[in-house]
Amino acid sequence: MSDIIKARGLRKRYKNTVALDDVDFDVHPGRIVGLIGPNGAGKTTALKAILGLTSFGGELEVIGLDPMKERSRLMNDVCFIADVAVLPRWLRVHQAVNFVEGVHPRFSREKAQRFLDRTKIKPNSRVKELSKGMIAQLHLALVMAIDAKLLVLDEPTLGLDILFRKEFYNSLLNDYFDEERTIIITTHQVEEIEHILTDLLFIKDGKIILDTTMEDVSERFTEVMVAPDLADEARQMKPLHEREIFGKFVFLFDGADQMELAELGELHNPSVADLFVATMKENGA
Amino acid sequence: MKSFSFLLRREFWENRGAFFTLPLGIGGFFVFIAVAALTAAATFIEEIDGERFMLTKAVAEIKKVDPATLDVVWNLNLLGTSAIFHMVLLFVVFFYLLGSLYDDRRDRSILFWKSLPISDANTVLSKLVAGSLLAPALWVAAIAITQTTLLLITTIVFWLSDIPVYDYLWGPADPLETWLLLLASYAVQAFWMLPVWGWALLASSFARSKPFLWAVAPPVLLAVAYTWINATQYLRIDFSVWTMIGNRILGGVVPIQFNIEGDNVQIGSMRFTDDDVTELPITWGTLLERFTWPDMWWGILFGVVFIALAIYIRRYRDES
Repeated sequence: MSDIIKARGLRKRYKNTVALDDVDFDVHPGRIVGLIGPNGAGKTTALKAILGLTSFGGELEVIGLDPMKERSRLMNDVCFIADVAVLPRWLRVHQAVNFVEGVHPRFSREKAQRFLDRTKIKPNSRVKELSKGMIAQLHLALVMAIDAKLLVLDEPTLGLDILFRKEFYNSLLNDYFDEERTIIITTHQVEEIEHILTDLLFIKDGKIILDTTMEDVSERFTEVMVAPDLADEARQMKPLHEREIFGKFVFLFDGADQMELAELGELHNPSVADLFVATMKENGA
Repeated sequence: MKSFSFLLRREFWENRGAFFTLPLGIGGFFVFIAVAALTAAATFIEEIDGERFMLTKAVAEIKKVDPATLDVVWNLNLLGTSAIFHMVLLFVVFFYLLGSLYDDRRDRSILFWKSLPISDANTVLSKLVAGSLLAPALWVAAIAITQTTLLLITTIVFWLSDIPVYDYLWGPADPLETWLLLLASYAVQAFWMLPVWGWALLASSFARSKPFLWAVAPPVLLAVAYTWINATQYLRIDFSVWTMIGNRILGGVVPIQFNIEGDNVQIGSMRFTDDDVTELPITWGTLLERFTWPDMWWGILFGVVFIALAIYIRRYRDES
């Protein structure tokens, strides 16, 4: 199957800032992509362009459609959760289920009911009576009951406690995701999603600074814990980044020879969070 | 089609109070007043004359009237007692439309609605249809419930007064036709009010804050500007924006005004005196006649433009 998303020379400029600066990227089917960047890097703008919520320059195809021209058709195959606060407060749970069933051709009431049965949400409650965590559960139940090709999550767990966050990603992975579906996630809590991601897109100042798969990350990037007396030697090998922990130095290398590095100290796979900090610094943060 | 019906249901769920509970409340108030007035009158008359059930004798005076002339009286009454509903509904629809494309942007639930496969045109049109047809239909239902109750109370009073109920009430009065006529009036009214409703939708879609101000200030400023230009005496325009706006809002086909000044009764934009009351101010014929007015078509034209702009803004504006 062809690409789920294909972006070429994607541009977006607001009054004083460039939100997206000539960005190219592809998203393939069956992947879970983490779109990661600091605040104001252009993440949300990129997602809005994908969802047809903002105009843009350059070329962008989502499931073969132009999101600006064919938005309502696109929404048959694309779902999104912007953040937990967006369900209308007056809506009752059973009304939400009825409504989505009424307007969405790919919604399964049985599935939604199954997800809701696992929660404490009562069908007659209004959204405003639910806790933040329950609203997120309701929204997720609605979205997971839709047989969509692409799911876009923009900070879906913001403001939720750790139990709900864990459960959110668990259900996403176990009950929803399969090789036919694609998910794009942005979040600040990178540590919590790195085990479910298959691809990384790092974005900074409107540019993609890293576009890679998780398999490549472990091949390309290596962390070495080096004793102070070998630190200078390690620095000469041009590490991406260094930090100090308990009197030892941790160097992050991109594409260095693992055999050589092993002589300097203990090797690790870097976490996405460390990789993020390193690449952000390298690009002049 | 199916998803449009769900869009309308959505509007009903959100606005159940304004669309249905409110008119029922107004009706309940009417019934309460009627019962209270009857009780008070009965007690008062009884105290004066010292005789029980004197009210029934007062009511029986109606027997002096020729029942054949009662049809216009009753049906005019049915239309007249509905006028307060139409007046309130005018405000209800205006404020409903004003919030319809604004509230969900303010609480950000627009992002949820926009995550569903619904075109923005359908969203905006569903608000228009909910405000100009669904709400009136529900209000007419509430009017029907109220008037049925009032007619039943009248029936009981007539019974107690030995007045032949069929000859004097149910024969001449035709509530069913009145309600159907009101429904049809609202269908015509929807076209007549299209520029006003379209303008409210546009303000609702456009305003980043204070949609009420955006809806009200421009026409008022325009009207003031006209007044001012006319006052300079350099330029006399034989046209008043005030009158235009007033006629549009109050000159619909549903009986909004029911002023009785002396013998004159004014219903909507139609004016007639007591002597002329031989037929009702709204008939199927007068409803259709509306479509021969150039004003009607100008209004529709402006309404369509406003609505198209509202849809365009709803679709393309970046809400960040």
